[in-house]
Amino acid sequence: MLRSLYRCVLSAHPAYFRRRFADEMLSIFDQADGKLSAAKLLVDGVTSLLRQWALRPEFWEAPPAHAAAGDAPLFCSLENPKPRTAALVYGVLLSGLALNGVCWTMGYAWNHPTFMDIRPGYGPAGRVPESKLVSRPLHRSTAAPEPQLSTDAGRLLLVFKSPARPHSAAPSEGAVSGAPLSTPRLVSIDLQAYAGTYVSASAKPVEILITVAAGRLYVEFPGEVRGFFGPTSLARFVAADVPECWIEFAASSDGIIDRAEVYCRGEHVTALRH
Amino acid sequence: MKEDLSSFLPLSPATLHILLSLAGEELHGYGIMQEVQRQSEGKYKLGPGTLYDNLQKLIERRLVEELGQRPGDDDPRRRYYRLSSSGRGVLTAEIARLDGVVREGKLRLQTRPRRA
Repeated sequence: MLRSLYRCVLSAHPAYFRRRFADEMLSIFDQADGKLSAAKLLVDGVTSLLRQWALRPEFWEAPPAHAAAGDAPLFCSLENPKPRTAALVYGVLLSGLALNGVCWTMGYAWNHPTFMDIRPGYGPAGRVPESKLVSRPLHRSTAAPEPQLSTDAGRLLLVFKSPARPHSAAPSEGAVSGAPLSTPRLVSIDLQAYAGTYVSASAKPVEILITVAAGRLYVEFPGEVRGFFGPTSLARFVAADVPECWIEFAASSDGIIDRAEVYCRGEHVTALRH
Repeated sequence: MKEDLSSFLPLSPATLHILLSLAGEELHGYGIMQEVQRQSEGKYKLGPGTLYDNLQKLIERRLVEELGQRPGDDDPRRRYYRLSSSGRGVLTAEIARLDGVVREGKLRLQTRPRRA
């Protein structure tokens, strides 16, 4: 039994070592007296097996031919292509360090999110152009406990940066540019400034009712269930439940919102405040 | 071209004992194990795995030569090994080094300052 195991262990050695020494090792095993000695030799064989595969890659195969007696090489052979043990160890260490670095970076980024400020600007026609994103770290301690219009439960929070403005008045560019950059805060929009009845200017007038309830803006189309619209900017509200549906508000010269452009599923309706 | 023997020094205990056992005569693997045990008075036992691992390296470095099998041996699987001239030189250098260590050690131990 032990002899069979020992033969298996020997046969698992690298071919070059096995060809040279396996018979002799088995011969020594055959001379062992007692099971204890045989068991010790078996342990020694297993140790040798591990040593040969892990630490002796240069002897896995026959080494290149030696020089002849006169130190003249018989032929040249390329270097053993198998990696050295030290190179393997260094490779494992470097791989571990690189993996650790990547994991640490990902963990750091996850625990230190970058918040984005949206600084709204206003064009000459009263329209809100694309928001300008400014990336900078959020100072949590300076966040004012103001009512929040829209929040995102994810890792990215879009914060409107604008000074407080009078109710029922559309924001002006001068007011926005006067806001200090170091004190970002959430915009407080008076949704009542948007509420009212808007009537389309088409041949068949459509009445759109915009109301405010529980701090939300609801839009009710005739014959349809009213829906909740969330702000993406001061003049643009997007339907929460209906895809591809949004409203853009416009203000008159005196700053009062008097027009609503309704875009819904490819259709466009211009409605004036009644 | 003369090889620099100091690059082999110091020898590991297993290598030293194997070279020392082959210094007297040609031996097979089992004979080397027994000779090592005799030299060390049973304090150092060499297993076949360690023996042939070291023999492999010594043959590769040409410190030991493999003679092959002998027809009249009891076990035809046995192969005999002998010390090469390089191996003898390395062993001599190692013995000289150890001799220096022993002398230095004895000198230091004898001249240890006594307490007043």
